Amino acid sequence: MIKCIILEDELMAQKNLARHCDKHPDVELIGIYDSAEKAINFLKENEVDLVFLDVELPDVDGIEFLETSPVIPEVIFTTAKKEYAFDAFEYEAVDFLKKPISYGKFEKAIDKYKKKVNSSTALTTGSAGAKGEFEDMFVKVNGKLVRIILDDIYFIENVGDYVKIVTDNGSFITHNTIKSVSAKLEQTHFLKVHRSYIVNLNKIVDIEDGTLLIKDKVIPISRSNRPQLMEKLNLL
Amino acid sequence: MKTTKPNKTDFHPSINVSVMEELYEGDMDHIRDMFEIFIETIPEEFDKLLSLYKDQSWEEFGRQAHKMKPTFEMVGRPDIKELFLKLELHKFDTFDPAKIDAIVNDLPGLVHEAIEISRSELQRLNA
Repeated sequence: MIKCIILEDELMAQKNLARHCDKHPDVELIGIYDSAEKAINFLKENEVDLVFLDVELPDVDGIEFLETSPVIPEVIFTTAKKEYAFDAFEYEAVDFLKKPISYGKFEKAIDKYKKKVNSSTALTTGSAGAKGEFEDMFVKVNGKLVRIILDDIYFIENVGDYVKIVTDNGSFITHNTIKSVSAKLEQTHFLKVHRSYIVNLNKIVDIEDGTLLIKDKVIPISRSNRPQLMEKLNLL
Repeated sequence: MKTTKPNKTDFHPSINVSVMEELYEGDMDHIRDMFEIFIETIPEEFDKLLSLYKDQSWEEFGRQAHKMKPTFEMVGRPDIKELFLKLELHKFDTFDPAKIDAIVNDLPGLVHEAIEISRSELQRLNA
């Protein structure tokens, strides 16, 4: 199911979109907000795949919302004015819908979302090293494929429907799951130690009880993953 | 989806047909939905607006007018939308309670009329 929220202050536009969400078999509406502040708070605490975002909001407008929200799922812009189409393009929105939005247009926008998500094979195999392991990978970040050297990665963290890749050169957030990243990195020096974390074994500073330290981050080790971790470590 | 071209002459004379054509491009199912939502939504929201007016909560009154404003255009009443725009923008003008009073006094009749017309349009479209 595609988990959606509506960020819209106009009553009929809210209800119209809510009806479309109810009608669509693949869409689950989990929140309706009339201000950016409330929506941002919700996004911080909940997993959301898609936001129907009204460009003209009374407090913070849709564009400011995109620039200030710490978590940004995919976005479908909704507006009464065509002038905002350029912004939708610039911010790589899934679609731009002019209000009032018919169910037909809504369905097409959802199809576009599905295509976009399916095509963003976020992790693409990079070049192979001497041991047959990848030395790097390409990660889709804000519409660009960015090369990340595997040795530069400290750990990878689950953030809702996204993963945060923490490296020497900063963090990268990409639409993916820990499960699929873990499968991708199976033959490398990375290991899933917890349902929310994959770590670079070469970067572990120490291990104590149920946690390990990488860089300055304490990462939990789940009981089920601990034996595999211990097996992979070069213990004296 | 069942989609038929609206017959211009079928709409109530108070409804702006060009607005309806522009917004819905002949999608009668969508028009039907919007009339339905309008009838469900507006009475309660209009009561809220009147209550804010009575309390002279002008900031919230302006916000409520902003929220309600586009709904009238959705049912082919841009004339009423314009009145709501004036209410919304009152804080930017030299505040003149007499002007607000004049608009608010006319609104119950107009809003009631818009609801009744929407109801009869919905019945006609469902027939």
